[in-house]
Amino acid sequence: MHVDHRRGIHSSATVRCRSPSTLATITHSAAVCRMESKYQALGRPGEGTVGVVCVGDVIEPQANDSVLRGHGTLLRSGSLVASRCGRVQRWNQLVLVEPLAGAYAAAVGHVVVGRIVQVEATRWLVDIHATTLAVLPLSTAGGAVRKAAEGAVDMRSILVEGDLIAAEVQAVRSDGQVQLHVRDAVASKLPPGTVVDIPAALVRPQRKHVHHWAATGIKAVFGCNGAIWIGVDGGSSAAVPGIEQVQAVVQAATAVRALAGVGQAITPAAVERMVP
Amino acid sequence: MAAPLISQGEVEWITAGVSYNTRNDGRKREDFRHLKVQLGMLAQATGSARVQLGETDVIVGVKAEIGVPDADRPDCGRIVFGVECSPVASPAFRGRGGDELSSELARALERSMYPGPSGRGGGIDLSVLSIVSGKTCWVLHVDALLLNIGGNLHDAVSAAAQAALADAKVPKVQVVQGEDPSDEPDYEVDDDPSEAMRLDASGMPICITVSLIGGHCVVDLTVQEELCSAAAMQVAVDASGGVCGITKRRQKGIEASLAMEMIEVAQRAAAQLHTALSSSLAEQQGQQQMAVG
Amino acid sequence: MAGQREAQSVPWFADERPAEVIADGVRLDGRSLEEFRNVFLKTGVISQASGSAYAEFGHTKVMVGVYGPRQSERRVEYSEQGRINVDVKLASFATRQRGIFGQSPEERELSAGVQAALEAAADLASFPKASADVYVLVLEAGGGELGVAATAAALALADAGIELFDIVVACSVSRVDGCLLLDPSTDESFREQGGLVLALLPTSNEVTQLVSRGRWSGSQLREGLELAMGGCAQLESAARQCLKDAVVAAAAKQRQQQQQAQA
Repeated sequence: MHVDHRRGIHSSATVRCRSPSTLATITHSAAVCRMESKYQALGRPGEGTVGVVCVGDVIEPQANDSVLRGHGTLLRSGSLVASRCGRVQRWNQLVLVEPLAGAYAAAVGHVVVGRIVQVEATRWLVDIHATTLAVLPLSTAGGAVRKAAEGAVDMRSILVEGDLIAAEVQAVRSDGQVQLHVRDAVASKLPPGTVVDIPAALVRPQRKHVHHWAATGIKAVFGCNGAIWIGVDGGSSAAVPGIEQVQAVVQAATAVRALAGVGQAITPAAVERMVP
Repeated sequence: MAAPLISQGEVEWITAGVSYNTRNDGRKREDFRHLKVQLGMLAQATGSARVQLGETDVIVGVKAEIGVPDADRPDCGRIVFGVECSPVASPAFRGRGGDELSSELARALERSMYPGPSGRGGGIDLSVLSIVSGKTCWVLHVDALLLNIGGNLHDAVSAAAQAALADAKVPKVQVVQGEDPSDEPDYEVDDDPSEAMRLDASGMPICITVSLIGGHCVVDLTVQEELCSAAAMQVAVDASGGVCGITKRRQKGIEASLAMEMIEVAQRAAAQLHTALSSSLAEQQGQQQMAVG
Repeated sequence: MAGQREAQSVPWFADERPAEVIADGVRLDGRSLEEFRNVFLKTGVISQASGSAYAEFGHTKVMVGVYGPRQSERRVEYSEQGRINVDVKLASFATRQRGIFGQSPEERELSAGVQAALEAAADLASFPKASADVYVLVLEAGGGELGVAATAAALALADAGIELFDIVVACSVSRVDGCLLLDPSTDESFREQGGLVLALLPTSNEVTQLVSRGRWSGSQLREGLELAMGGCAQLESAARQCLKDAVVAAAAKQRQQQQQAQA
């Protein structure tokens, strides 16, 4: 029987390597290279970033009392070892590994873009790409609270399943549940537009998370959870979007995808450089 | 399967974009996403193809077995279509979650490729798969595996099935009759790939799903766009532009004249896709020939 | 249908399908090319159901029962709209080969086909969170089951008092040796090169279901669709008459009861 050699599928287990350690070094350095090349733009020396590590990498050979073990690290026979892939961050004594991929880890004060997935009697459950659904209680939903005091409110008249909102992380409980806050639940609903999902690590908390393009009448919300919303500027009651707006949003969305594709940090300034 | 959610704002947005002929990824209404076809990467299969259409990713493997023909069609071979929705593509497919989608996709494939009850008029000439009339024939199992769901699964699965069938090399079989005519004949399967028979892919149709968004015909929808469309027609079109099967999908009705327009859109889109597919097939088959030779 | 049979049924019937189905423009059963089989439609045939209908097109006999709208049995996600669930069952004695236990792929396809034909016609917003269950039983499959089932199911929905935008009428067309045959029988569709089923909302001319198989050129398809639309127009008057008769009969019965009560 003829066998086309190019079709043969070899499992990696059958590949024999003279020295197992050589193979390990090769694969390990390949993984780190990949991460470094992809995220080199993020490594800003002088801001506490040391480098990129892979699971099992030794960060501190001798972890004495001067080192505080942070997220993503393990203590193993006296040395500090990374337990996930990412950037090493040092803040004074604290050493932690910030992941480059995976679920979004919420922190108080982050601006996020989320989607309502469930409506309950007094709260909404919101998907913000975190490990669990975030909660938006009616009590932190601003203007609606007054109505709630008067009597039962129809939750679905404010926000329904599928709606996109821009919100702020108010609290992260010890069990990981995220509580959101909006100034006004009705106004937090995003008008016609589109969402681009990118790795959350590429959006850092910054002073301004909303950017307006006055000339074309569009705006963008840069959610720290990696959801970038771009669409019509001006209230949820905006009229049908015009052709200039659609084209401008498509441009901006393409710019965000392109930047994220090469691992660039996504900031309003970076997007504006590409889409003036 | 739990349908993904979409907000009213996004629906309005996509509908407006379609009306301006500018979709979210910059495509026009009748543009397909980038189509990538790989042939013959499954060594165990008679023929195989992987099709990537944007984010949608599908693998189709064809396995040939010797079986018994249908009683209604003794002179024809058989093709059995199956689609597996693996939980790899979406957790909603765990357990029996993907059954509905997989049977829908399999029936759509079958309807486009397989002839009606008469055994005529289908995309594939089944008579070439016959070995001994009424007794034995080739049974081709065409199995599709969904790897990633990025919208427009139907078209991707059909393109992959067409490519995999075109890639299939059905071995040559010789029937050796024993001394006694009442003995069961022996079958000798030739294992020389250069002797193997290739199916004629030129007659095989591919499916084009034409959807309506705000009264406009759109092809190759993303997941988000699919949520905005209330009516769609899936049209199987062969290389010469003949229509080999229509199925209406989704909830809403379609005005009769619009239905004819949708079929014409499908014929136009299919012509492009056929050219792209056949040039890709010719190129890769050429490479395989070189490797064998 | 492709699929392995474990046992062969005894050839009870004349096993050979006729090779020729048209001679001098006349079909096997004496019909002309664009003529329906004998059509019989009746609603209110199952007293237990919210609505029901029976349809007979020549040898194709279909019974439909509609239950609901009622609280959905299956737990589904929140929806402002109602749902229509369709379940088509071919009686085990409906075809030449005895039917298989459980839902066959053929039945699943018929169910999906009928469901699509009905969904566009019903005002789903009029029964939010509820579902209407449509059970279709094909007693005898004599050709064109999908069209007959869709027509009958729409009558049953109307009989159940579910709000509809319009009735649905559906019919099939087969292309045999270049001739277009309206409402084909099994023997005729066995010889077809192409076939299609069209379901329409007749007043708005809206297509709610279109299924075709076999190879069609653009012009053939247009002719086929036109013939099917003509067929649907004929069926429409029959379907409307059937519903009207039922309403008149029900009104007469009510009046009679009232008179009896007064007396």
